[in-house]
Amino acid sequence: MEDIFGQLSQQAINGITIGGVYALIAIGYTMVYGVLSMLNFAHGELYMIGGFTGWWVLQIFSINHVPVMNAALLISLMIVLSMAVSALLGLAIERIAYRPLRKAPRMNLLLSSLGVSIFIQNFILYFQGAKVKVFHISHLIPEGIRTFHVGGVVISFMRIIVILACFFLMVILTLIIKKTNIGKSIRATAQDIEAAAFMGIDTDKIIVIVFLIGSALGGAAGILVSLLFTQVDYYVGFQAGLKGFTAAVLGGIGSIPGAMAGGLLLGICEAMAVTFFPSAYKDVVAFAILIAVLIFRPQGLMGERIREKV
Amino acid sequence: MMKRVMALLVSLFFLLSGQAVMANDVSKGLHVGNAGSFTGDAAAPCMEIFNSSQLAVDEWNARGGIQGVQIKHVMGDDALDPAQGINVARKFTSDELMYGVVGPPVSHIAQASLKIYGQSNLACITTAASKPELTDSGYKHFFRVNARNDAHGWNCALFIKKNLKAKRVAILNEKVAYCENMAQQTIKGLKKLGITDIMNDTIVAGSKDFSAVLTKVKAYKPDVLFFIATTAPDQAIGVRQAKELGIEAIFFGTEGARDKNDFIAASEGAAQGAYVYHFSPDIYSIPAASAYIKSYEKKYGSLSGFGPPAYEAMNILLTAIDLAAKDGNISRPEVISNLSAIANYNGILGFPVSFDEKGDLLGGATYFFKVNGKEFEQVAVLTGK
Amino acid sequence: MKRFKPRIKIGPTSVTILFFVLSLAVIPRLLPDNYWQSIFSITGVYVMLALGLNIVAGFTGLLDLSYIAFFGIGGYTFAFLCSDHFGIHLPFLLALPICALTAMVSGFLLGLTSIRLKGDYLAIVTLAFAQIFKLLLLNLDAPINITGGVNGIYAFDQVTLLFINIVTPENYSVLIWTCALLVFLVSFRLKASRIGRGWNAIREDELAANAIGINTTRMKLYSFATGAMIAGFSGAVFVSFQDSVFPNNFDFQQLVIVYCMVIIGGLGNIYGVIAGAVVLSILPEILREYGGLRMMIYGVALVSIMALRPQGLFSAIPGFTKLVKRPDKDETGELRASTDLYYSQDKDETDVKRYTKQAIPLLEIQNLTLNFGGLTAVDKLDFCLHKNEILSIIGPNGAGKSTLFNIISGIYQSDQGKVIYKDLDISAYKPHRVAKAGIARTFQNLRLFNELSVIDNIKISRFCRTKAFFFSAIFNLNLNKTEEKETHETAKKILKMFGRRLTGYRYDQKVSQLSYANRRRVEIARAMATGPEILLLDEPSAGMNPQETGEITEFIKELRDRFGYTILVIEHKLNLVKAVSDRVIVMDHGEKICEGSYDDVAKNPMVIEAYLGKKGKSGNQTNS
Repeated sequence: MEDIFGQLSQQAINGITIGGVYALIAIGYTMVYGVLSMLNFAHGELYMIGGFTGWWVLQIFSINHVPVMNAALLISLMIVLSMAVSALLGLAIERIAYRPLRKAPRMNLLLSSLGVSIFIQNFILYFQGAKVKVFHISHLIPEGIRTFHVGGVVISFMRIIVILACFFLMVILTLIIKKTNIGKSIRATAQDIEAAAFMGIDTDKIIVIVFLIGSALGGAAGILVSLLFTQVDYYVGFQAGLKGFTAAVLGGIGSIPGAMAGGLLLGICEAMAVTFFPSAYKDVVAFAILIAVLIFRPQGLMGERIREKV
Repeated sequence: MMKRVMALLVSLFFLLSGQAVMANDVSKGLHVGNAGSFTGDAAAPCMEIFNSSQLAVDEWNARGGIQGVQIKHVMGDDALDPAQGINVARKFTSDELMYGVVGPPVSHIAQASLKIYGQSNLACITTAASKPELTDSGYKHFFRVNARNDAHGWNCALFIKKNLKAKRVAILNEKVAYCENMAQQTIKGLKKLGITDIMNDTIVAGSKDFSAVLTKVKAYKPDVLFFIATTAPDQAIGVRQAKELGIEAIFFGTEGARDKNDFIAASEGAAQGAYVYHFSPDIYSIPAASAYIKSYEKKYGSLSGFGPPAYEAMNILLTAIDLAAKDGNISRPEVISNLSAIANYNGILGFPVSFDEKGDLLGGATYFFKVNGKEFEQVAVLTGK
Repeated sequence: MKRFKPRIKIGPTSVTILFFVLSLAVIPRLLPDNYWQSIFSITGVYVMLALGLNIVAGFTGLLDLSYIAFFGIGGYTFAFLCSDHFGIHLPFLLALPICALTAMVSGFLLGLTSIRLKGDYLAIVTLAFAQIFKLLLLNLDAPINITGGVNGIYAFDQVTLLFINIVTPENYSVLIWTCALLVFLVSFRLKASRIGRGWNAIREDELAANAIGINTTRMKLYSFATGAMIAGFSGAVFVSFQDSVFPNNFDFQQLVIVYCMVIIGGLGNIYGVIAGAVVLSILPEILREYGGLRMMIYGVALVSIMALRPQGLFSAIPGFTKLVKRPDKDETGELRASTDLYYSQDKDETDVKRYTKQAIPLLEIQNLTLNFGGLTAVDKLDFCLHKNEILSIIGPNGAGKSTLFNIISGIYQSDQGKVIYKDLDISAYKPHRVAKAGIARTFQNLRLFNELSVIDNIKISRFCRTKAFFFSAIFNLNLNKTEEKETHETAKKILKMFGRRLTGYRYDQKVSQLSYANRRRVEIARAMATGPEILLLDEPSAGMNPQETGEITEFIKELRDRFGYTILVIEHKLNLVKAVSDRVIVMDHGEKICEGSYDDVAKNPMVIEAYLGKKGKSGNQTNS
């Protein structure tokens, strides 16, 4: 019995880490959905690009896997640059593939984003190769603090960094959305893009900002996961995107707190499920939860129910 | 002598089966195919196979080709989709100048396309597909330079019991045909050896996070964790996360893990003391392979366990083609019978290659290695006893 | 006025059928080798798959991401029924329909759980189902071996049809393309039938479709199941051709490819979809030797096509689309502009029967109340509509007039009170049942099926008055023939009531190209075509100029006087109200504040107050 308890608390830690990452990805989906009502299939690729950027930064600033600067500084630099590159790429995608289609049927946008996703994935495959890029991080973390034991539960240093970074980014985002003028404009645009435009909000600018923020968070998720699992390859975006997307819908698509809650919930459920089922059924459990939630609460956990206007 | 008889029998088989055996003039051109999943999930190992084969073809061409004809190496990408694998097979078999194929390396795609290659007598040498049924179905065209799962599984079970002295074993396998079969064969062997405390669960390749299932393994408290994944990076993550979680069991990896860069170096110390098995001795310890390793690493970067057998397979295939083309004419059945007549081919794998009557590697042994520092140290060779 | 008939009609249909015949008879013999034969066969499978998806996503507009799972269900069912796996060896011709039916039933059951979800939510739930399906395929080999797990199932029974063994790719290509021809014919017939029109209506505007008598939930379910059936059918044929089946055959990536085919071909455009399937099956083969580069090209092509040809690659190629633009000249060669036209000039005065209000109550509203959160939109409303009466409802914005219409037509459920229509309590009816019972409505802010032609908009309304079902529609049985004829004639008859505004070349014009006033007319025509007794007209003259308002005023009167409709109309333009109404009800804050003839109402101080605000005095507004 105690065994099960110990295992479950360990799984909770595993779940919170991966859940935090899902949440970061889900936020990107949800924000874009909020303003454009489109599912951005290319979002998973921004996550992948975040990981690759981080790898290159690490590669450039270390000699024989030994960093040439302070480790904390290097990790921050990796995160910041990954976010920047992903954000710029997100911006470019919006400009090239989505803006020309603003008025087109929604399915076209969906397909265009799929095209972008296929392109980026294979672009990386072609120019970076199919081989996994390995992060050599042992020199980034001092020897004694790589893992912590709390009771029977083991937490690694990187997990703590990932959890903290995820929550830090989520808090910052919440502050931006709640307190600043830009946040207000984003909320207004998400509610009704036309009305927001009538009120003098430059909605084009808001869409650009939303893509910037969403993509940056996707990139951050990418580098954090890569640091945690020490590897990235060209194919990681698809699965991550699918999970982020699931988390976004679970929480109620369009709702930022929903995305956060959805991500954490999904991560924890998945980890817990492994304890009780063969791990092959982990995703079955995740998707079954999603289906159940949507059937009983079609707007997701924290989404708003909208009465159709006639 | 046996070989001679067998070759004769194979030729007779083709004669009796009434296949119209068309012999072509060699000067029309020589094509060899390479079927594999060069895009999608398994792109990394498959590209290594392709590049290694390419190296072999380039070397033959540099030496003047076969009968003065330059060999063309054709890529057939199936994107890990069996339906596309069939298209590749049709494409290759329809190419009149195609005399042999390296691949397909993925068991289920090899299964899907087996009949098509078989019906048109196009020789295939796989370098990784280890599903036993592939050579059990009666087709004569299918060869493999890797050992079958049933042989490896039994040897691994022996190793776990005798060398690692385990009583409780956790087996995690990736959900692909090769790993699944390997797990089943090992479990079968372990049970035969009297080990019944076995936990078996699955991992998803490429998901990069095995911590949830490893937490479950930790609670099971096994003596040995047999981690059956295809590629080295996945196993590097496995060993790393197992260490991180404080799992004390001996980590035992597969063929794919015998990779200094992507397993030992990538795990940054976590792999210390881990074991892996392989169907060939350490490629870096074989003098005959040094030229190959050098040119591969120069051209394509780091090498894992998938390249050497592909290089060997292509060389064997070209040797058979070369032999068939001696008289200026060449036909596909000729290539197949030459392949089954291959005896003790000494290439770069460190052991002589011969095929049995089914096309399986004759007397395939399993080599066991322990990670020590940055090197693999060979600790045992088992041949089923 | 009789149009000359084209001598030989070379339309897309004949081209397509010719293409199929060629595919069947000639192409297999022309192809150089087994490789191309096999590509050709796979292309046939994709044509089927794309046509099936086109029904769900194209005709009905459902973003169904579990489509590929039905393909898999068909495939695996076939593997179960025709191999040593379970030792069952059914003949091919028996197994095929069983596979299709299994997939259809699965589609139906899956649809039951999720079909009420809208748009993207439907997409994600179906995607989740597809993922679960694939995981089950992978993992159901233990404890008992059902699916064969990663090893799949292989080596099926040899197919023998009419004493011919189907072995070579050439045999298969003939078999597969015969199946594809069948699917094409089914899809073609369905599109042209009432079922296809119903689906189109749902795609364009689900609520409006519901309001004109289409049981949208059920029709969506049918669409889902039909798509699933075709997918299952193609799945069986496909695995038989592949002679093996694996979970990888049904990856998400496969679904993406089929979606690309449908969207690049143009959603709902059968010919385009076939062309899309052919192009996208052959193009990757040509690029096969380029590995990674090939998918990069694919991605770029997808983005550019979506940007440059949003309606699909084959949308505006002559012959691929039926809808026409307004010609500048009419049949006589005269230049024309819409303002030159005046409708009903050639009135047929032979029909002399005149209707007037009768003292028979037809629709009774009793104590009707609806709250939106804290706001009472309709408050204890009582009134009665008599047979052949024109009753106007007026009142300031937000008075609850449109909400009243929404309750009567079943879109909103009232909290209290009853709607009685001819002794029948219809308060709990869904919109399509209200329409079928005989009450049709128009919408204040126009809810037409914009991408469809004028005549199709009207024809859709006949849905609730016709019965032809799948069997009848697919085989074009007598029932279907007579109903189609009747539908066409009724639609034309109703449009002719609006004179040249909506006739002639306008039949085939897209509704979105019409002027605002004309769209209003189409809305009224669409409501009339459902064969109602009562018409609910929500601001019929909104957005019309004075001349057009005059026309519509006359027309509303005609509707009652000549055609005997009973009319409840919401209107702001008081001269219209004055001209048509037998009685007027004034509403404010959800309540009826006054009722009577126009003149009575116009003098009522409360009405003046509601419209103009209080004169002098302020205060005691209690019911806000």
